[in-house]
Amino acid sequence: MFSAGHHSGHFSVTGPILTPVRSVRPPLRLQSHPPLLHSSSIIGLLLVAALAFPGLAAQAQVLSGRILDEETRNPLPGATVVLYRDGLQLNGQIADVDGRYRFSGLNAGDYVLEASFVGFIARTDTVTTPRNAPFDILLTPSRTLLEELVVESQRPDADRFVAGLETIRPEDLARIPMPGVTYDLAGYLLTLPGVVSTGDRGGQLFVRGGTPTQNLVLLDGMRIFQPFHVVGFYSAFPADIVSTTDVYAGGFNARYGGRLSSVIDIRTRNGNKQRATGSASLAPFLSGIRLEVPVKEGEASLVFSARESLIDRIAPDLLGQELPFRFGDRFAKFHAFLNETSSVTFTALRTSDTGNLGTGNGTDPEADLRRSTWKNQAYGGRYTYIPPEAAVMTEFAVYYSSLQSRYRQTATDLRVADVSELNLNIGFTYLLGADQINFGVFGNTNFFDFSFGQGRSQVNTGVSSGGAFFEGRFVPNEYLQLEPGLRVEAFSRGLRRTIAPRMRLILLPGGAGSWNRISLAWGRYHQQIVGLNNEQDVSDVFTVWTASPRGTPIPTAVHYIAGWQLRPTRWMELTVEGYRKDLVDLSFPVFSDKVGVLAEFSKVDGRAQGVDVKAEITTRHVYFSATYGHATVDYVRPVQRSRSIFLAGTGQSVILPRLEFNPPHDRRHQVGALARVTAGSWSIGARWQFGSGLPFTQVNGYYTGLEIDSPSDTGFLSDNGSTFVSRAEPYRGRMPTYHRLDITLERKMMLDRADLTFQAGVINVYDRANIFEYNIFTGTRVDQLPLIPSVGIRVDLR
Amino acid sequence: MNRLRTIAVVLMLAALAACDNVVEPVSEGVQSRYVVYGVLDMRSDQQVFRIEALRPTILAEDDGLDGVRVVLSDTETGQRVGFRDSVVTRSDADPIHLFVADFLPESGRTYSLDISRSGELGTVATTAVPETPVLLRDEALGDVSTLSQTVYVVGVNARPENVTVIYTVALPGGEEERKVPVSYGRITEAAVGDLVFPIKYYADRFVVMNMLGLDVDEPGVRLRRIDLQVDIPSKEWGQTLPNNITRGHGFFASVGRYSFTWRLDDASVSTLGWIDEQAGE
Repeated sequence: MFSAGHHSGHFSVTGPILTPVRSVRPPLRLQSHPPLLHSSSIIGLLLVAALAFPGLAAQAQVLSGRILDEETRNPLPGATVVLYRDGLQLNGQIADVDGRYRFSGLNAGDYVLEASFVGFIARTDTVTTPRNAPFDILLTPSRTLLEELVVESQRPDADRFVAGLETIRPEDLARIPMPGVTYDLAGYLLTLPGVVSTGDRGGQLFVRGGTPTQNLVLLDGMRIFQPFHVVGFYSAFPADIVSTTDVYAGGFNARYGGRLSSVIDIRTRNGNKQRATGSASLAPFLSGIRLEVPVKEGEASLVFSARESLIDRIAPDLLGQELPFRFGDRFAKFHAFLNETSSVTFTALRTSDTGNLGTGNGTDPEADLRRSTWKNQAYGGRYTYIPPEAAVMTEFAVYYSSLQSRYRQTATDLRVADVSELNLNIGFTYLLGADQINFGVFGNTNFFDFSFGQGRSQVNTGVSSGGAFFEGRFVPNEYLQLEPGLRVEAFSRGLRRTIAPRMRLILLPGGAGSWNRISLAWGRYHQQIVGLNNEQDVSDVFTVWTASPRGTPIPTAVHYIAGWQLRPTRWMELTVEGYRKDLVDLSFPVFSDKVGVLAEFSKVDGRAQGVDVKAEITTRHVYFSATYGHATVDYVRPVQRSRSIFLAGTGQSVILPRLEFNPPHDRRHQVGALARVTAGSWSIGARWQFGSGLPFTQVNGYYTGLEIDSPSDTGFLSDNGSTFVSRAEPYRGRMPTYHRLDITLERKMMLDRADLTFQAGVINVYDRANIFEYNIFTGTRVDQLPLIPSVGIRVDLR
Repeated sequence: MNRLRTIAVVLMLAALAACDNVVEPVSEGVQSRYVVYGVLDMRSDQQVFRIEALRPTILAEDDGLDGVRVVLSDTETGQRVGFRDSVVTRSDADPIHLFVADFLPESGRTYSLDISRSGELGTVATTAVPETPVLLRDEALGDVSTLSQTVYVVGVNARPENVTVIYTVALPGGEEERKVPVSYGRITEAAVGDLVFPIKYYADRFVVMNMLGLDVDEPGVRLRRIDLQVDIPSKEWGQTLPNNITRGHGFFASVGRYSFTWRLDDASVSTLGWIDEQAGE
């Protein structure tokens, strides 16, 4: 059972399993093959398996095809298809991003396929095997508003509860009050407990104790280094193009690697292959258009999306104040079915952000010069092949992505950080009835180019890695699902290769359809790319990506997650998750007393632990959720000598004493509430967020640092020297609490060929002065966005 | 009822926490921190230290030194010396505060520099001037092209800064007396411990005669005295991160200057082609 997702550049299977009501095992069983783990080499094992399985699988019957929108012939990823024979439910699947489904290991005979999807009328067909051609299922759209259907429809993954995983669908995004009529993933992520943001400006996300650079963000497999715009509640891509998003706050599968903390895996929609359609929205924060064009009817399509902010041009007249942020993004995706067994996809994303993050309040003469800019670029190509007679799917993918980041702190202080990455992935998926096996090989190369400004020399470096992964999903009975995994990776830096075992268990005490679910996850993770920021700024958005220091162990994390979900009624859901992340060999900057100079790095160990609670109520007209997250992040720096991260050290290695501290993202308490009430064509939404203060390092002050070379040196009596900083105990200070309320009011109108949406909203309703940055150089404070009203209109062509 | 009270208290605390909106980027006690750069120097009878107060921001204009007193104390005898503020104004940069006092430190003493305003716990920096070492020497040996003498400066706890042999001579045919220093530089072999090195009379002879403007074989030069001068820095010079400044920053150390004299034997003086007029035997 599968839905084929496209993650991190390899073919993979991520969809939920619809467990059979009565388990009827298909004839093709994993146990019928030679033991998989007898090979001495994992890569060898994978290659042998790739060659061996197709031949064995060819003896069984396969029933496959696509689930499509009858009107547009667009694939319906996430649609559900259930297989029956003789009145007995045999299996169920979730369609993949191309709308594909596939049942293998069948006997010859008559089967009943029942397909359904939110917003479409369910359909039942009888199919006879063997078949020579795929069987496509066409679903007819319902004319009812999508939102109304959502509350009545059971989510397609309703029976699958995975610790650490939150699967987000477009209807989830639509519940979040956002300025303007653009829904956005970032806005949704900020409602999750355990997700900490630096706020409206800057776009940094911390997930359950991890730093932004420990998050793996994938858009159709392409790594996005800066996934958020400078106004932090907007993602670097529009919600219009998103099909589904899996957010792993921890405990993620073996197919994902290179990051310690979390995974945000976004899959985009394919374009309409039957007729041209699109949408347009106009709002002060962000306006945009989306076009979908069939390149070849029924076979190939092109999606293009462009968004651009207007707030910097409108704010002075509309609000009477400067909001110097300009951002935008462009997205294009070409998808084509080459034939019945293969498809190809090309995806491109470009984003740009510019913001004067620290406007000050007239007291800082250099405030007008302060500016952050960053540009994402990502390009990817993917080829998917599914042999007609084999239960194996193969994918080849190549991705390139880069981030250019600049931060001008003062007229003479320009910080530069560039990173780029090239990925090559080959993946295989075997479908063995209710069970499935994924494996693949991959290679990554990163290049880094950065400077911490103030005339410091630029540093260029790079790192490569390669390896293989294996993961399986096994359903021994209706009460238990096992998902073991293993990832092996070798690095061009570090001491030795890494072996990362992973395991997940899903327990359904009441069997399939149980309203009481338990899920456990455990895994070991490695990351050699570290994120550095300048702790001298209380709230610094500029982060440098670079390789972990040479000759040191690869940073490692071990995740433990235990989750429990209860659905006492159809309209209520309660989820509690406890987690712990043990972090070892992290690189943490040690800043020189000399201002602006990155001296060395230290090795720290840490532990992030906490509990997240979420309660959801979903009825026909009301959605309400309340979340609470309690977390602590503790770092320990043993006694050590500081290390240089550079080829030639620029700083002076010093002996560092033992230090215990809470890093800058240690948010202890986080509370969120989200409500949306719909009445006819009207709906009102509200979101309130609260976060306790984040740690920062206070300073004692600044002084002129001088050098005295020898007892005969008297130059220090007249030298100008350099500016040095005296710091207090690291991270003993706490910033003020953060809280904000946003409200929107919407009305939807359905016309013959289009839907119109009007929206009025207010962000930061009670005008809370949430701190964004305190510039300790100048003593100026910069707050996040003030009360801002907004209006918007959106047109969706059918 | 108790539960309701607890909930009410928690909600009130949460509300109070939510109202907190003040950033305290500068830690408490910053006003009592100063920065000192200075060397307590036995080679001079006037001591000069550069002192400033920590600034809360880089752009702060107030130098923060109003009312600050700078006092040097001998930790053993209690002798105290007050320093006066001397501001050096520069056209292209901030003024520099140099604190000056007429004072000659003594070897083996520990001095404490106190920088504070009245009633505050200020910055304290301490340094111990190195003890006077002991000089030992072997016999001078060799002919005119090899004559040398090994000396031992015992009790040197830091690498000597300057080692100089000073020859006091009278020119031929008159009473004019000249002092000719021959620098041996930093004796890098002696990091810590005893300083052992040869005085190379055969080589110094060329330097002395050259400095006097005489041919190396010119007769009639009279040797009247030989001195060895050694500058020894305090231990702070050899430390990566000295910890002798409390509640403050900068660098504070000392340097001692020590002189030794001895009599070169008649035969050796004669070997050098000089006439022995040294005091003593």
